[in-house]
Amino acid sequence: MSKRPFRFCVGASSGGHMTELAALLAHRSLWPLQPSLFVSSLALGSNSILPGVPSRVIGECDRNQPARAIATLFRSLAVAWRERPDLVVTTGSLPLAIFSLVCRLFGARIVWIDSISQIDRISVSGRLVKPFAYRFFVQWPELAERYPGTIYAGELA
Amino acid sequence: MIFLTVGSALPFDRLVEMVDRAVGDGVVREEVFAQVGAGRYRPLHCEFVDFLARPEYEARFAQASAVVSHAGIGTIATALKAGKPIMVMPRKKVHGELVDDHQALTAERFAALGHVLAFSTRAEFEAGMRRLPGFVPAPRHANAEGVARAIGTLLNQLCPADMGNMQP
Repeated sequence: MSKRPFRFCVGASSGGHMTELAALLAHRSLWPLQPSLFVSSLALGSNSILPGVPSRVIGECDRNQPARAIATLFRSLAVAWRERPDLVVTTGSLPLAIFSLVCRLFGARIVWIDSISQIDRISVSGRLVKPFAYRFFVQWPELAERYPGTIYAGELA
Repeated sequence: MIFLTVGSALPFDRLVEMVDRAVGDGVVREEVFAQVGAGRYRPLHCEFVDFLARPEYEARFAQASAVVSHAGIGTIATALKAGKPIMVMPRKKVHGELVDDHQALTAERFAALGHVLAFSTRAEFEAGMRRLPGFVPAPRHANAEGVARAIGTLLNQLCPADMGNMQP
C-alpha cells in the first residue's frame, strides 16, 4: 500500500497576516496532524513560526502590481507542482490567494481565514478565493451574518 | 521613549513627518525612536532607523512607554498583547499608501473598543498625545483557540488518523 501522506500547507503574507497565522499556529497542538509546508510572501523570519517545517517563498504583490502578481503566480505554480498540498490553510493576502487557487487547480482544498482588519466586508483577495474555498472564515460575527457561506469561530488578533 | 514604527512592508512618510514635526515643535516632549521604513522623509528631531531585525524591534517595543504606528493589525496585536498603549494612524488609499481604506476602519473599530487611540490629523495626534498618559488600553480577548478548534474539526474530517503524517 503506497498511500501518500496527507499534505497540509499553511501560509500568510508578511505583516499582520503572518501575525494572525502565528496566533492560529500557537494552538496547533489541538490538531490531529501538523503542517508539512509553510508558504510566505517574504523570507523574513518565516522559520521562527514553524521551526523544522520546510518553507517556500512566493513573493509579495498587491492588486496594483500586475507584474509582481504574475511572478507570484509562476512561483506558486512551481511550489504547487512540486509539493501538491491536499489542504491549504491561509490568513491571506493576495499572494496567498494566488497560491491557494493554483493549489486548488491541483486538487487541494482551501481554507481561507479573512483578516480581522476586514471589518465591514470581506477582502478583495477573499472574494477571489471564496467560490473555490472549502471553508471561509471571517473574524467578526456581523460579517458571517452578512455573507452566507462564511463562518465565524473566533478571532486571531 | 515613544516608539514610532511604520511596519515592515511599506513607507509612511505622512506619519513620520507629522510626529517628527510635533517633536520639533515641542508638542512631544518624550524622546521618540523611529523605525521609518523605505520612506523619503528623514526625521530631523528624532533618532531613527529604516528597519529593525525582529529581536531589536521587540527590544524597542519592550522599552517604549507607548507606541505610535500605522493602523496595521500586526503592530496593534503586538501592542495589545504587551499591554502597551498605542496610537495609530491609518494609511489611506487617496495618498497611495494602500490599495484600500481598511486601515481606517480598523483604527475606528479598535478605537471604539477602547484598544487604541486613533488619529488622522495633526490636531487629532496632539489630542491623542494629551490623552496618552492616562490611557489604559482595554484588554482584548481574541479567541484564536476557537478558530484553531474549527480547523482541527476539519482536519479530523479530511484526514482520518490512519493517514496522518506523524510529526514530533
